[in-house]
Amino acid sequence: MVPNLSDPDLPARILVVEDDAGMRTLILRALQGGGFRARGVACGDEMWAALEVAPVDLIIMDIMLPGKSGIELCRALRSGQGATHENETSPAQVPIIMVSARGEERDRVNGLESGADDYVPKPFGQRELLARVRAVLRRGIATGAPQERVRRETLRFAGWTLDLRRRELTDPSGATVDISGAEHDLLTSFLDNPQRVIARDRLLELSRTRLGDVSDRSIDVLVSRLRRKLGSDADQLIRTVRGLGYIFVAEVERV
Amino acid sequence: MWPLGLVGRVCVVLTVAVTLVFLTNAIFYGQAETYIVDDVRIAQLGEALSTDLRVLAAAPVSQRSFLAVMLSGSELSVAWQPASITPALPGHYPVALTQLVRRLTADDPILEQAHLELYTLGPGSADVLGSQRLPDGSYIHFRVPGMLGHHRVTRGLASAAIAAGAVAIAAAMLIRGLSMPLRALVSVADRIGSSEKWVPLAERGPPEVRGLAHAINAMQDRIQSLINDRTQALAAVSHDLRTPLTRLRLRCGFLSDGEAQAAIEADLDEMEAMVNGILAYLAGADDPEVPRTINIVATLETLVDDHVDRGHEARYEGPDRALLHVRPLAMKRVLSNLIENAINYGGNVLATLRTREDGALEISISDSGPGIPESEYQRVLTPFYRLEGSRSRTTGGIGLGLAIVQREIAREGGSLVLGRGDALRGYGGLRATIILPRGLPSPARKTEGQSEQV
Repeated sequence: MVPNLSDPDLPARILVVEDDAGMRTLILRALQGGGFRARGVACGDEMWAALEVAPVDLIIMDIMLPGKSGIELCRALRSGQGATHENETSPAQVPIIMVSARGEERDRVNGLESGADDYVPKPFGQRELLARVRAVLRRGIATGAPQERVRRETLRFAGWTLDLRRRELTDPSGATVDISGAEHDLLTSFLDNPQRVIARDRLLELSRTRLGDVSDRSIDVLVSRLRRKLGSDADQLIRTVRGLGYIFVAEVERV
Repeated sequence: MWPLGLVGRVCVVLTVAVTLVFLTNAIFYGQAETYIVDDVRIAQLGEALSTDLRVLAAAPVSQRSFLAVMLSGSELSVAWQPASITPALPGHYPVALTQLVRRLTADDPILEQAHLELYTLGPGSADVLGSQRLPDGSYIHFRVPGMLGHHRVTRGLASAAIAAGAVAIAAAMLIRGLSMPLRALVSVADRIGSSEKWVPLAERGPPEVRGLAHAINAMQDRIQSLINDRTQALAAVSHDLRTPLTRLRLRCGFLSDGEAQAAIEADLDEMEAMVNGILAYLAGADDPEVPRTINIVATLETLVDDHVDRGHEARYEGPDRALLHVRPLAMKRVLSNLIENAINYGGNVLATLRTREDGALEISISDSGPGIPESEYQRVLTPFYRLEGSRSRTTGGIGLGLAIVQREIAREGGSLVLGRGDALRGYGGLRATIILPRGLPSPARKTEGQSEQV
C-alpha cells in the first residue's frame, strides 16, 4: 500500500534536501519527532534519484545547495521534471517549503515565485518548522484539488489587487497596503468564496490553513483589522450577516 | 586664534612684513638721507663763523644786534641773543651735521670753545642752522641756506609701496590658487567614511599639493577596500552564523528540560536579533529596493496589531490612510525598530501620524519609559552605541536600531527628531518623530482612485 496525501490516516512522507549534514539530521529528527516519515538528501541529483525511488508528499529544500540551487530545482520540479509514481501526486504538484539563511524579503519573494509554497528563513526552531509543514500539508488537503494549490494568479476586486505569490495588496490608487499573514489568509478566504455567507468558524478554519497562529484571536478582530486596511471601501466589501457570519460582496476577478 | 582662512593669513603676514620694512626704511632713510651739498663751503663757513664770533665778542653788548645784521649776507645770516635768554634748540640733528661740527671744531679752536651746534629745521630742509656761545654767555644764531641736499627717498617709497601692493595682490591670488586644491581636499576628506560615494581628487596644483592629492586618493582607495573587506567579513560571519543558530534551535527542541530549553531559546532569540540587526545595517547602503507608493498607515497598523497580539500595550492614533512614496520594506524596518525600542524600554507604545502644515508627514512613536537624557540624543544614533546599562538588559539589541532608522530616514529625504513624549497622556518617555516629505511621483495616480482621507 502506498499512502498519499488524500489518505490522511498515514503520516506524510517528507523529503529534505539540505547539504549541511548536521542540519539535515536535525531536521529529519524533528520531522520524525513530529510524526512524519522523512528522508534526507544532500543535493539536486540525489533528490531526483530519491523521487525515482519513492513518491513524497512534501519537499523541504535549502536554497543554497551545491550544483543547482534550490530555486532552480524548484523551477525544474514545477516544470514537470521528476518521476511520477502511479496513483501519486506528480512532483510538479508536491508542496515545497524553501529553507534559507537569506532572510531578506526579496529572497522570500524569489523563492515563492519559483514555485515554492512557503519560505522559512533560518534560524528556525522545531515548532516553527513543524507548524509550517502542517500548514502547507493542510492547505493541500483543504483545497482538495492539488492542481489548484499552485496558484500564480492575481485577484482583483473593486479596483483592489491581491498578488497571491507576493502576498501584496494594492489599493485602487496603486498604493501598496501592508497586510499581515493572518489578514492575507482571511482576505484570500473571502476572495475564494465571494458573494457567499461564510460562518465565523468556517472562516477561522479557512484562514488558519496557512499558519497555526490565528486560533487565539477572535475572527471579529481580524475582520475589523482587515476592514480598516481596506479603508472607506471596507463596509461595501465585507458585510456582517448578523448571527451567521460575513459575506464578501464584491465580484472577484482572477487574472 | 586665526579667524581667517589661508589666503587671509598669508595676506596679513605679507601686509605686516611690508609695513615693517617700510617703517624701518623710513627711520633709516630719515637719518641717512641728508648730506652736505658742497664741501668747499664748509671751510668758508668755518672761517666766517670764527670771524663773526671774534667780531661780536669784541663789540659792546649794545651794538651786537646791529653788528650781527651787518655781518649777515646771502651765504650766512647771523643774529645775536643776550645771555639772559636760554636758547631753545628745536633739534633735528642728522648724522651729516654732527660730523660737520666735528670737522669745524677740529680745524678751529675758537669754534671749539664756542660750543658750536648745528641743526636743521627738520628732514627735507636744505638750511643749516646753528648757534655758538660768546665768552660772556650770550649766543649767536646763524643760518646757512642751501647747505644740505636730500635724496628723494619719499617718492621712492611711494612707488615701492605701489609695487609692494601689486606684489601682495598677486601673491594673494597665487595663494588662493594654491588653496583651491586644498579646499577640494577638505570636501573630499569630509566625505570619507560617510555613506556617500566619494570622488577621486583631481591631482593638480604645485607638486606638494599634487602629492597630497595623490596620497589622499590612495588613502581613499585603501580605506574603501578596508571598509569593504570588513563589511564583507562581518556580513559573511553574520550570515553564516544563521546555520549553526538553526542547528542550535533545532537541537534545543530535543531537550527534555523545559526550563533550560526556554532559557536557551531566549538566548537564541537575542543572538538572532543581533545577526539580523547587523545584516540589516550592512545591507542598507546597497539595498536595491525601489521606492513605491504605500499606505503607511497600514504598515503602522500591522506592526501595532502584531504587538497587541503579543500582549503588549500598543496603540495607533491618526487617519486611516496616508500615502508615501518610499522603500516599503526599509520603511517597515524603520517603524518596526522604533516600535520595538518603545516596547523594550518603555513597555508600551503610542504611534501617531499627522500631516504637517508644510505637507510633510509626521510619525511619532512614544512610550512611557524613562526616556533618554537629552545629552545622549546625538550619540544614540551612532552605530553600535548603547545607553549605559542597557547592554545588560536582554533587549536583544546591539545598538543598531536607531542607526538604521537614522540612515533610512535620511535616504528617504526625511529627518529623525528625538524628544520627550506627552507625559499628561501617560507617554512621557522617549518620543521619536520622523518627518517625511510626501514624495509622490505622479499626482495623477493619487487622484484617480478613491478620495484622499489625509
